[in-house]
Amino acid sequence: MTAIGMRHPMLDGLAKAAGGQLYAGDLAIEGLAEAVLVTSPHSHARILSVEDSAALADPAVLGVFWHANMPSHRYNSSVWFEGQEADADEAMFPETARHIGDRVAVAVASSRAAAERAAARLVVRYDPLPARLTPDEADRARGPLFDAVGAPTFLNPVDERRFARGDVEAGFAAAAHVSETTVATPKTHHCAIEPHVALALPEPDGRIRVLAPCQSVHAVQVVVARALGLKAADIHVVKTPIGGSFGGKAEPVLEPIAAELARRLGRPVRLACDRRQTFSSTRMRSATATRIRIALAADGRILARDTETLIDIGAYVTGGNWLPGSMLQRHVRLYDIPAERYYGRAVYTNTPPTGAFRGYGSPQINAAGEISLDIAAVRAGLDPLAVRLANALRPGAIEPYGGLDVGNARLRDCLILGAERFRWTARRAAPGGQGRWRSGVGMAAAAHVNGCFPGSDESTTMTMRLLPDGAIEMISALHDLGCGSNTTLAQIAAEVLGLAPAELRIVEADTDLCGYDLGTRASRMTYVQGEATRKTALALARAVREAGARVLNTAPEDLVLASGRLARRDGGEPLDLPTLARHLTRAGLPLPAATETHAATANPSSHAAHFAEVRVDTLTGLVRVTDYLAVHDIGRAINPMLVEGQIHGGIQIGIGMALCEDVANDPETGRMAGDSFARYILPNSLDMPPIDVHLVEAGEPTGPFGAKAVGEIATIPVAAAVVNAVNHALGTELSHLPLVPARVLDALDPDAGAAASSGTA
Amino acid sequence: MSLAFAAPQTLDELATLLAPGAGPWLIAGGTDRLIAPAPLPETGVVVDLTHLEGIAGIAEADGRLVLGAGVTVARLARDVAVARLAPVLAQAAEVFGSVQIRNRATIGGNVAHGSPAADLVPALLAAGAAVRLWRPAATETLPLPAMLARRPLLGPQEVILGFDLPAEGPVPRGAFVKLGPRQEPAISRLTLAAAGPAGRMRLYAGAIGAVPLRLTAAEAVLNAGGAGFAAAVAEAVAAANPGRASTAYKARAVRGLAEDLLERLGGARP
Repeated sequence: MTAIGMRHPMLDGLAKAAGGQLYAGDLAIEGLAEAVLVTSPHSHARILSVEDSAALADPAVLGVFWHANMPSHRYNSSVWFEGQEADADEAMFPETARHIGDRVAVAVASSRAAAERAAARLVVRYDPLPARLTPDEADRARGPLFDAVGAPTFLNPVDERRFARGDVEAGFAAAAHVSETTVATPKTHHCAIEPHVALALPEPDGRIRVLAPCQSVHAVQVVVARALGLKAADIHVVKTPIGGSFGGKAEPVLEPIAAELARRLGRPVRLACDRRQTFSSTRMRSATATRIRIALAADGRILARDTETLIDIGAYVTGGNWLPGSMLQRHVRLYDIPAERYYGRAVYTNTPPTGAFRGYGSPQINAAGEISLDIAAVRAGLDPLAVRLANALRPGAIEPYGGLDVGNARLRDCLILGAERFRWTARRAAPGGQGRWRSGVGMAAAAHVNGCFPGSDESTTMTMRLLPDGAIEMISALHDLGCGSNTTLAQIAAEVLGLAPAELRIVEADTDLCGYDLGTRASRMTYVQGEATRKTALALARAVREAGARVLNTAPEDLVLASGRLARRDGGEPLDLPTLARHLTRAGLPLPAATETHAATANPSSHAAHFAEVRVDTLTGLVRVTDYLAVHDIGRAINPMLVEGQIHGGIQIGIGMALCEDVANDPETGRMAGDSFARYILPNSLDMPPIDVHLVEAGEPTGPFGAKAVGEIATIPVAAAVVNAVNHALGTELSHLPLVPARVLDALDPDAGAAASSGTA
Repeated sequence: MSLAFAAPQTLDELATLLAPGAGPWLIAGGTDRLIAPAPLPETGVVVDLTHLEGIAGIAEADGRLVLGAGVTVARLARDVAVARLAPVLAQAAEVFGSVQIRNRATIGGNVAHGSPAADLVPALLAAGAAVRLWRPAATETLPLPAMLARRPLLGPQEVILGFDLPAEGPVPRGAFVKLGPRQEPAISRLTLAAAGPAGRMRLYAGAIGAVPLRLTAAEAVLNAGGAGFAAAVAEAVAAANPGRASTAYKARAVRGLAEDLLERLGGARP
């Protein structure tokens, strides 16, 4: 192996570290107009009028747009292909604002300053309406989602999913211990450093070109087309370098508006959110409240489990209708449980809409499942690790959600290795102190998917070709979200083609250049795109050897691709790729090219076991994670350094969900307490513990070189591991996340009357 | 019409820039300005005060500490004279903002900005500081509490030149402790600052009101030896802002801060 398993630096890392990378917000384009959104200060209000004469008095202002003068086509921002059905309840500018931060109007001007000025001069008249700010309240407003004329009613539930297998009642009847817990998880935000931005330009052929940091150019294309009432073919989408996404840029939010403005004004337009709007007017992780009953046998086997979860998806459906199902899918992939009942329900509230965020429901349901199981184990006097080992799904198991083989799923290996390296048994038994400072350790396990199989479109197409200068180009729907997926794929291609990864010319997603693909989501880059890369590279290698054989007048089998050239097994003079390309072009022979479509045939599990140590200040309620160990079933690490980077970042996001991150919409006013980096507290480098990463590389036969996904699972078990450690340290059963200091103090002394329900105030 | 920038070096130059109608916008480190919700004005002049002659000086005279308003927080945190003569201020500077903010932010800016959560203000109050104010053709030295009682804190042409801290005996004592949502950077949810000669220490709590609150009853307990100190502080904090949702938490958590403060002072445990 020359490239697989190498700690290769990220291909674009130096440019980013040195400030050389340009993002959509940096692009200087002749004649570029700038647009600024005006958003609703009300949780629910009819937008009666927008008075724009003061704004339009400035000659630099090009226009003011709102629902009265913009297309009103309803769409759903989570679709990713033409013809996909989805509950269409969103419009570019709604007649009724449904959350604080909802889009009311946009001001366009020749400069950002003039656009900001114009936005500030708009006078909007609202007719405030009653708002449903909590999921419980919203859950009582029931009815069909659309009325007789097809208009959205915003009644609930948006979607629900029931599942049952085995004899649940018999399981509870036979249990030695029955435990019930309710776990609440917060709405958290991605907090990508790059705020949301989209650019659109009229093209000479009448199409609109959209430049945006996105996770799927095809999703942007279809959503923009629907919002504008055009055909997908009228929209040309190019992905720009991303300054972080984590799911936040999976759904097009600004792109339709930018495209319509460019079409209407006949000039390039950039629409950019500031930080506050990125918090309040884009997407975030849904909040959940999950009640779980667990039936444990005396030996720790789970005999039955009954789960009911209520998911607050916010003001619009987006992809929230998927959540009850996707949470179920991951919930039942972790343990072998003979009897299971599940009821998941997603509801609208008048709070900011939710959408994709690393794990897509998994961190929420995992926190619920793993905190509940920990509490059940402790109540039963059982070791939480032993309970997990007793129930862990085994390799080759058939998961009950879709009846799929979980592949070479090494959950047990993760648990055993982690327990040994963390010294679980000794540390769990060690006294945590009785004074002001208490220490504890906790752990959690996780399962996640690899891509969207058996979804009908879980496939991707890649083209690789030798260029006249001897370089090899790879073209596909590549959307590196900043985590280095292009580097990983380049290593796979380089391994097959005998090149250095940096020698590949990578063409990122562009709807004019790449085949249809559902984008970077669902932990599918390495597992699906990686396998497409491997297959295409194999086909190109064959074509290059055949072309070389013609030039060298030998047999393709006598040629080996290595170190950027064709070496001859017979020891003859090697042929480098630039020379081969020159020979071929001069001779009028075609340059080798290969296009392969890879359709996934499986959806194996990735697993992880995480172990955390915490120190709690029982006087202030502050929690510090003091040590962390993560074991991941990765199949095979294409680039161990990038794998570790994913895990480190996943732990940071998970610690935030456990301890401090919460946009905290006020249940009375709807106001978001955390809509700035000053008020939305996320862990930074100083808050991070030392992290020890161990990889289980047992190989997944269906993955490229045995590889499986790590991107999402890295953050899935973190919150539960940290919360379980806090509960161990304090002897509590904290389960309302995040564990802000007031909640910790309340749990320690419920009678002291702090009653500090307000999370982050 | 556009926005101009000036960095005067003398008070005469400054006086010209502060002339009525000039529309000056004063900054020192600019760290609060940078994240302010309101955009910069489109016209007028941004006046950087940090280049004024003598504005960034630290001087010691007979145990008194004379600080220029332009001294950065990072310098406060590492200056040996500050550490010796005003440990409360050095400790507040150490936990102020983050490395980047400390490198830019100034002591004068922190006071002038008037944030209820300003970390240096309770420390300066505990240290008994007086503030040196300047306006064209006039200077004035005020006890800091007197300035903090004014609204606005500063007149339209008024600038803080520096702070004078009184001598506190041969071995000045002081401590500053902070409760924030994370290590740093963190907006203080509650701070305690204590300084002064043994038996006559001043005790202030920050971030529980518009300006820091002197906790006189708890101060008496502290000066009497510290027994029951945490309870006395908790009582004062609970009474300070009874209406606010966060007060109940702060009144409990301040016991931890009180313990930390006593430990830093090296005094008796309650």
